[in-house]
Amino acid sequence: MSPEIVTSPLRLLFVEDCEDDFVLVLRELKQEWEDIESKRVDTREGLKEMLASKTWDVVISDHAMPGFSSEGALEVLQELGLDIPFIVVSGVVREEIVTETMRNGAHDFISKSNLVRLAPAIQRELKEATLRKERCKIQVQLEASERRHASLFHANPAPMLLIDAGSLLIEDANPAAAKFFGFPVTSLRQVGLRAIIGRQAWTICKTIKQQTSKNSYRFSEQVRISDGSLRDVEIFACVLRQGPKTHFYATIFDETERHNAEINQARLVAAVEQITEALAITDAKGVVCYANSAFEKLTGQRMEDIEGHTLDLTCSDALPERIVETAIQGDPWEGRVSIRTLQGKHVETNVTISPVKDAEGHVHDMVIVLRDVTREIETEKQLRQVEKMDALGALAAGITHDFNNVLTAILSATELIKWNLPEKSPLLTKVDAILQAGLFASGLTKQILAFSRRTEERGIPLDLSVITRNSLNMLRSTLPNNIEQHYEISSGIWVTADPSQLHQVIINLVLNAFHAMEHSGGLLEVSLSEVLMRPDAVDVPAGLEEGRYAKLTIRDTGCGMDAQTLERIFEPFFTTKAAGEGTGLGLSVVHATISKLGGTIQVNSELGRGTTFQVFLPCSSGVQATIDDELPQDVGGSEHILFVDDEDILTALAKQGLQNLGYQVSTRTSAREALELFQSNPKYFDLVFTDLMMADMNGSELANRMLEIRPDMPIIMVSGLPASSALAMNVHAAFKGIVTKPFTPFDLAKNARIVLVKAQKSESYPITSPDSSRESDDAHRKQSHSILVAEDSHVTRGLIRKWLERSGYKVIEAKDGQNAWELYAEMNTQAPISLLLTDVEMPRMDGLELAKRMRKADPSIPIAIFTSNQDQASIKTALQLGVNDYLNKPFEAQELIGCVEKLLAERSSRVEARRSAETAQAVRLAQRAMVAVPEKDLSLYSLYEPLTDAGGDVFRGLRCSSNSVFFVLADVAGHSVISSYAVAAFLAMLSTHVSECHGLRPIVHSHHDESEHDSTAFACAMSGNVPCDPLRHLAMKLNHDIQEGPFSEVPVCVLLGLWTPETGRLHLLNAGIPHGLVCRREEGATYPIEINGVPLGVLPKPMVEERVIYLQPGDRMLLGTDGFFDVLSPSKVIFNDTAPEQWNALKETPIDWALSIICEVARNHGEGVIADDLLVIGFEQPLPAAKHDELRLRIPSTARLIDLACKQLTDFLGDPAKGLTLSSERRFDIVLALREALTNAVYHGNQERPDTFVDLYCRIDEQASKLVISVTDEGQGFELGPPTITVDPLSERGRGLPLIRNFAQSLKVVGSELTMEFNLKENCDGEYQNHNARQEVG
Amino acid sequence: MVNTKTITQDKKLADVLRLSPQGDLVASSVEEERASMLKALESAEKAVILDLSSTELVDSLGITLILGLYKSCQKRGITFSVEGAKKDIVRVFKLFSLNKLFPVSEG
Repeated sequence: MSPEIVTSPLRLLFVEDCEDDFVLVLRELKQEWEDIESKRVDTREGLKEMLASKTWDVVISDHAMPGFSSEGALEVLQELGLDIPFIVVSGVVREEIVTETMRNGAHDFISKSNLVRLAPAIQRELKEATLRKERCKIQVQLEASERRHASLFHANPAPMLLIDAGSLLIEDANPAAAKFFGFPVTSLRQVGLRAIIGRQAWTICKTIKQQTSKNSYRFSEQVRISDGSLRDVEIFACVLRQGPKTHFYATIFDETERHNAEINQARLVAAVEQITEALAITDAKGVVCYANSAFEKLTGQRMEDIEGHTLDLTCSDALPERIVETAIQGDPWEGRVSIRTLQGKHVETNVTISPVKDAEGHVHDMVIVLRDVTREIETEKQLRQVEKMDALGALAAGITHDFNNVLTAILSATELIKWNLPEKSPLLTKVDAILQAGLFASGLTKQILAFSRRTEERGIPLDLSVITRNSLNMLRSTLPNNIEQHYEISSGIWVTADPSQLHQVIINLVLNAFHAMEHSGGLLEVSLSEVLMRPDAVDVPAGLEEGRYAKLTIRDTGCGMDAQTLERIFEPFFTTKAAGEGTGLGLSVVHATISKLGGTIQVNSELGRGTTFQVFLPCSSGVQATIDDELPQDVGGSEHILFVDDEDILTALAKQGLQNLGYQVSTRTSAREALELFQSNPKYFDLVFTDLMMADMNGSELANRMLEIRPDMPIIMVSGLPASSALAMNVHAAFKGIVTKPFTPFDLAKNARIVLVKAQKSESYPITSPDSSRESDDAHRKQSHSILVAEDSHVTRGLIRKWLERSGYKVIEAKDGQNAWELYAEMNTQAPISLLLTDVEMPRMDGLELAKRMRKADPSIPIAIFTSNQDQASIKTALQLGVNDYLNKPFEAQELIGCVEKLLAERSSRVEARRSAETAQAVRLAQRAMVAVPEKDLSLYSLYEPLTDAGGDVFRGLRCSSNSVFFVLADVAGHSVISSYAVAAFLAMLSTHVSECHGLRPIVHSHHDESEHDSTAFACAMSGNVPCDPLRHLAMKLNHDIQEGPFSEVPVCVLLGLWTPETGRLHLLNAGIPHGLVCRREEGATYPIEINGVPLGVLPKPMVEERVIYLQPGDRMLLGTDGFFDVLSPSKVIFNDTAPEQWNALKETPIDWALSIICEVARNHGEGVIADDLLVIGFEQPLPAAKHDELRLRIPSTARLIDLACKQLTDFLGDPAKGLTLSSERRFDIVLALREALTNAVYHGNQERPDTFVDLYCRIDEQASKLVISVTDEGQGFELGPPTITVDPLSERGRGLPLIRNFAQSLKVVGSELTMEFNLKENCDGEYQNHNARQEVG
Repeated sequence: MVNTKTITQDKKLADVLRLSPQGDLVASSVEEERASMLKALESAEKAVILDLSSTELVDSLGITLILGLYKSCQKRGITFSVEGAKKDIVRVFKLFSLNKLFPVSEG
């Protein structure tokens, strides 16, 4: 019962006509309610009045009354809009009446005969009415709330949308949303959420639907508005879940401006941070609040260290004050400041200080920008130097041009006078003096021109280390003992330059160092290395671009130079030496040469401490340029040369140099010995070089004595004097050529070749009488050559004619180009000309135009031009036009004749050269059809297709006594004649060592200690005994021999292999041929074998890598040289990439066929273009017969399988059929050792990789006295440490190896193969001998 | 070989922790043993006894484990000893002078 009903009086209004009935009902009700307030009415008006007078709790009405009814009473209540419980109490209760009354709105209908129902009905209805009232109140409140809410939504300044999360339709949008999106609300309702934010709409809805626990969400999205632009917004979604439907309010905040601001901010920050200029921000007092990373880099001061401190750049105290001053003045400041970095380095900087002002114009921050201008200053300085040099150069060139013409006249005239003087004329010496002085002057002009960069450039790729070594070797002996020398020269540093110029550079620099230490003595250090200049590196010398450079350093500890001297040392004619001691040209020529080559030279010097020159030269791009590129092929030869000089070093150098070019060389250091040798067999030598000044007999006399024995003997003079001086000594008659010191091997060979070609030509004519007839034949031959000379200078033309005619040639003179061209056309029909010599600058038609026309008319006529001022551009143009050679004025008779001879000789040999090239092509085509062939009786197949008939790849295979197969693949660098000799030499070395090692004969030794003589190490392995390391040993030997041999500059890539088909063991050693493939039949896959190494002959000790792999039956190896794997397709895909797949695909094809096919595939890959020799070998592991004394296992790398393998070995050792009598203790030791070896292989070698395997091979020897166990993994291999490792009991380091060492009698590692040997029989003391182990663990 | 470990607190000597691996201490089992032994070690108070009577083989990784146990004990001032080791195992221990670090008794 509700408390309301209990506490207040129950107000009852009766609509009843009968007072008795009223009382009766009231009495009935009084039993239930003590306090009842009641009234009775029986008319419509009465009811209305009563209802208006007060509030009633219940109306109880009779159904039918005279003049009124319950129906009418209900109407009154409804009219007045009163919700009061209305109960009908009637004497008549019929169903239709009850139904009708209830339908009209009565709350209950009770029979007067059943009044007990009334009280409960009233109570129920009162409760109902209360509830109804409550509900009504709530409804009113709800409506009010909705109204408030609607105004919140519509009046909200933030754009809001009401969205159906299911359909994504916008159900409502507020005016702010309409304004933001630029669509009316009605349009927004139609477009839906997707149209505004795209696909992301689904994600949002999904999130909302899935995460039912949350009611509000936040999303960052981009929305599209009516003008098509995208805005960055934050969306706050507030979810309304109503039954199955989910709605959400999306409130949108436009973040675009803020985002843009953030992006701009981040951009600014990144820019400031990453800008290359050093930048710091301070407050107005100079206290640092920010410094970028360039600032840190430049000054070495870190942001965290200087933040909050006054900017302090040590050596510029002025800077902080300057900042404060600038802040006060409010104007930017710019200037140069020298700062000192934290590391103490001085850096010149350009500094800008800019004040940063706020809106009111108050300075609050200062921006300090520093730019390192050290290099710029240096470059400026260099530029000034270059300009100065250029000006001087232009002046010098101008002088020498005229000077050369004068000199030509003087020299020519003098020589003419000399030829016309009688032999014993007293004037002769005076004339010689003029000649000598003239030639000296000519040499000077050449030097001046060299400095002024107007000389010819004939750069070839060359190994600077060779030039450096040669130059140093030449100088080494001339330096006094008080100068200690230290050289550190790295090999294989290639630059493009003229070798003789570089030679001169080195000599000049070393001599400079020598002069600085001449009196005091000291240390001369020369080093050569290759350096990589990076653009960001701080120490890149000014003027150099990034790239690889050869760095040549020449350091002395001599007197040094002061700053003034240092400034001027590269200036021409500047010298500190006494007058007459130096020309002052040396270093200026060095400077000019280096600059010309795109390099730079730096010098540091301190008075009394010494000087360091650093030369940087750009490395040639073609590093691959093979060694023979350095030397044109035509200077090589195979003739026998005798070289005579009393300097040991020079003879040795000459020998090596000439041998490199293929010549056979004998040397003597005494003229008398040389003469004796020559006398013993005069026909043996083809050419003699002899020094002029020798102690026991001078070169001239030696030459004359030799010519007495063999008059046709070609002899070349080697002179320490300039060629001109030697000539002046009037000894040239005996010699066919002159080489002046300093010379390079190339100089020697060039001269040798010229002279030899000449000599061979002479021989091609039948000789009847050795002296006279030969000369006349020669003359006749020369007369058959008509030489057309075009030269406008009457004097020069006359001189050239004289020289040529004196040498027996027929000369046709033309006074200019036009004249020459007319003469040529005239002559062509009757006696065609053999050679054209022409000046460049001539009236009417110049030499270049003439050359052009001649080339067009007859490409076979050799042409040489004279240049009077060594004009680079003309020479270049001439060479492009096909001019064969050029002569720089002034030239000597010797030079002219040499040039003419050479050109005429070349003309005849050109046809032969073409024929030889065609032959090579044919040979190659023929070889293309080759198929793989077996190697002797071995199951080894090879296929070799050489690129040319010179040099190339080598393959040798041989059977060892132990049924192992030894093989070598080698790739000798280069494809020149030298390479061919190097191949021959390599084969000789190989056969020497293999036979020295008794590799071809059975070996009876049964056991060898490692320390025994080298050759037996190889032998014992070849005989299949204890595995020592024969391949490494052989590699060492070959490396040594190549380095010591005549072709030390030709490295050889080598792959050595030792294959034992019986066990499948394959031991590979690689020195530069890192290619191999193994096809594993079982796995159906092919893997590359990754081993590396450096070619033999390059390093003092070879760097090689070894691998041992165990081949399973059917596994196939493919080994090849670079030429095979490096074949490039036209689209630059390397064959190596597809080779494993190709080799795998051929696994079912017979091995020899497979080899032939894969080579064909390689050729097709390159579309027929193969840039190198092609050498491939292949073999297949046969099925070895099972042996009862062997155990072979191949296990995947897991710890569990270690247990299995150990179990197998335990069973193997315990098998009675093996007849072993091992103590249990010994067996425990052996198995434990194996366990350790396997653990090492699985955990360290293979690192537990699931795709790797460990091979185990055990063998008991025939006497059952020894057990050999090899464990091989797929790792990189390791080195055994020294056998005496002290075992610290507390150390947790691996104990595997010490354990094995303790139990095994020997232990050996080859690549990743660990081999242990165990004695199975006890010695007399009941022990298994093991010295190492006792010592080790003791 | 898969080992089942029993680590028992000795009833009589409540402070003694007895570790009794039920198998070999070799590469294939050592990791599992290490985890459980080091955990058991935390409850040790005065002494730890490694009972090797069920162990036939200890390889170098096993030795490293034993040494690790010894060092942990040493750090905490707990005595450590090995009991019941087979003859061959004792031989291996001696090789590495382990018997100089802690008592090893043969069983």
